[in-house]
Amino acid sequence: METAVQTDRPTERIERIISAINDSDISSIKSVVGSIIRLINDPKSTAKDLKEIISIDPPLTAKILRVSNSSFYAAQTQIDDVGKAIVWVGFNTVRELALRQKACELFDKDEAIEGYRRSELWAYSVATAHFAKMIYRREFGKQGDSIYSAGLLHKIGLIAEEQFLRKAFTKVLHIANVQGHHLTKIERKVFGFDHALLGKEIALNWHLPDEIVNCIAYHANPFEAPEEYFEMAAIMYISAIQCHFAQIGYYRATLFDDDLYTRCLDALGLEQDALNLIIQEGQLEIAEMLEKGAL
Amino acid sequence: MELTVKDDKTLLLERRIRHLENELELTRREKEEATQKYFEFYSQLEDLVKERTADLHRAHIALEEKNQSLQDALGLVEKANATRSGFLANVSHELRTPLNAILGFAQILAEEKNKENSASLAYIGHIIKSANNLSALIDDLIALSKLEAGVMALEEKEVRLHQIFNSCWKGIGKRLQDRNIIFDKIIPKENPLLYIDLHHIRRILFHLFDNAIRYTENGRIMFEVKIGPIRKERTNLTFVIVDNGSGIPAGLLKNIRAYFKKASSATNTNYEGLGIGLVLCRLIAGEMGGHLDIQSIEGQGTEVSLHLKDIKILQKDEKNISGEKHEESTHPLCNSFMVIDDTEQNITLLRHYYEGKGIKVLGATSVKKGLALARKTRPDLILMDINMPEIDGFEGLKMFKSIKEFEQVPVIAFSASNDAMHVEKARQAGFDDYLLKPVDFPVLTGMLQQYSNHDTGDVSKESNEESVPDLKMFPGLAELRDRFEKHIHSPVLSEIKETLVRIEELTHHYNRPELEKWYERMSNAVEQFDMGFLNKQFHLLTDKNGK
Repeated sequence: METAVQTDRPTERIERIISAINDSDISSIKSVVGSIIRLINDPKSTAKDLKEIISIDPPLTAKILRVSNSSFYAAQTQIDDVGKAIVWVGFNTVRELALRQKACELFDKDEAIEGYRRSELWAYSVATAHFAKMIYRREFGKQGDSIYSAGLLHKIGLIAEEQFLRKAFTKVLHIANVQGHHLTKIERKVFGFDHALLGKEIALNWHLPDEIVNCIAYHANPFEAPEEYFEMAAIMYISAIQCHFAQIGYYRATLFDDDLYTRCLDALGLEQDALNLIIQEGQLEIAEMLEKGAL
Repeated sequence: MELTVKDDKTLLLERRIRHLENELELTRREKEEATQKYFEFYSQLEDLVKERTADLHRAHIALEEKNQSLQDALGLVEKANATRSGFLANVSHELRTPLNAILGFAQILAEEKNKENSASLAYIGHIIKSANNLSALIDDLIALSKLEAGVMALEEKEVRLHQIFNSCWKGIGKRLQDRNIIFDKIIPKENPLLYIDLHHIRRILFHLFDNAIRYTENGRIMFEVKIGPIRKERTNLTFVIVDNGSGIPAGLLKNIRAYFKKASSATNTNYEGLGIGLVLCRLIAGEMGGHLDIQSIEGQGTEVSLHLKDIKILQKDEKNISGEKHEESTHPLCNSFMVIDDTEQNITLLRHYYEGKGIKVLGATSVKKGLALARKTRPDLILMDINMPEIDGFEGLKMFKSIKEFEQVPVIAFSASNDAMHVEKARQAGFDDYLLKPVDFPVLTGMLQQYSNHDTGDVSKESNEESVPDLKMFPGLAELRDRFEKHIHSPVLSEIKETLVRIEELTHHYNRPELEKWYERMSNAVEQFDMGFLNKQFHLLTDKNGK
């Protein structure tokens, strides 16, 4: 579906895209993903709430049961019910699993456009989320659930462009490839906005928590984020750049700016050595998850 | 000064330790939270399970209640059906018992020697005729009630095609003659063994014949039987009765045809102006999966056909079923028989009829009296009423059969019920035959002939078994001598069976009881693979003829 036309104002174009998203299959993802994220952010949430969210989506339930029974989690019993999965695999893990499996549906259709593939973008998003969560936990001693959610969804703007501004998006990719400019710059020129801004508007429309909205909005330029969200946005940017270093998935989606990266490390007091330790382990974990069917 | 500079390795190690400490602390916290959540989850689950169990329990109780009420309803329906069935049987019995007396005594009056008063004779004739009509009407009404109540059962059994017509002929032959009607019949030569309800087919045909005869005088009636092609051992049968009588007025014919076309539901019985006979015919035909057709032109005649679908054809030949052949015969009757019946009139009636024929009729109004009398008089046969106070016919049968000296004495059930279930029940109980009230004397006479040899003892039975028919008397049988000889040297069962079919045809042809009995013994031997007996018979047959 080609939604926006060049003559529209950028804000109108974004509105049209969001309305198209709400009319599409993505709306089902919206409700489940929104519910899981709100549940993650609610300390009073219970296992029963999680079970109820998952149970209304039979394909999701099936995926969760399949993954819960994978050798990665190596449960001692056959898991044939979400309640059982929560007990055996763990509440947080199932919550994360549910989010990942549902968000993954956004990246379902795999088609190569000018070196871009949804599956590649997904691999990059999962790795970014995973790294961000690990950095958050290990360097800052904080639970990384929100940043993990943000990591999975931080490129949702790109998915929307690809799906709803298909021709123009192809053009953007082509120019980026030929002229060597980064996506964001060409997006702004062609669409009048970039995927971070579009992602933010989508997150707002989905009523995601503020920290996730801001993380999506400023993952490529953390210093522009409101102060309280800087840390999360900067960690997201640093994690994305780790994918750049390790060349994971469609890593070119986020521009590597050496100066910005160094400023972020300094601001957060992070050492590259420490990051290397985390990324090394994170990559091993991701490889194991892939191998044992948990992804 | 203290050395504060750390090398890279130490730094890395410290970072690693810090990372692990953080991870450990988070994991510990998460574990606590998770434990809390599991606890909540389980308690919620427990509540849920309790709630669900209570729900299920309530649903279970509701289901049980519903089940019980359904069972009660079913019980009521079953009880109502049983009551209705029982009521019909009782009504039948109550109506037939006085009729039995009327008809029986009228028959005796008609047979008495002093017939000077011809007017009285004519009156008696009217009484008999009317009583017979009344008897038939009661039968029809009861059948109709049973059809409407859905309690009429079909009595399918093995019947030869020709038997169908023969069983009707007895009732219509004389009437055709009386009304000076020329009768033609077209019946296929083949005589397959069918599995049908002879009683009900006969009932329909009898009604149709009755109508044809009633509306035809000095005319012609034709009866035709058509057999359809045989598929999967089944065929369609059509019986057509055509008369050239007065025919049916167009208006009435329209009504009859419309009624015949209606779905044959017994509950839809709007049969105003049709006469009970036709209504009954249609309902019975429907019950048997068939239908009736009618064509008629006023003043020219009527054609009625009964179509029966998917009639089962049995390939194998079976011995003839008893009860159908009570034709006039010269076979000697028994010397005496006993009637046990609480209605004394029935005893008197039989005594009057048979004592004139030199047969002693012993009467007892209860089983106990009957037993005492039988010990003294040793009757050749016992006629046992089924419906008696104190000891009924079934108990009576058991009592007689348990006494050695009466073991071999045939006991015939005597009842006013012609319900198939009752007949079957009597047969299963061990009664040798079943006689319906009001008594049909020729039928009873046939039974007295049939059972007169039953108690002749084992010795004579033995000698009987060894006797073979004289081939000079039966030239048709003599023609089979080559086959008999072949069977002696090479006894192949399938070939012997073929021979038996020929013998059966000859038995029908000669219509001699001694031949019939011999055929029955042969047929039994084949069924029981008694090759020794068969071999002996074939030897006797060939020896007797001499070479």
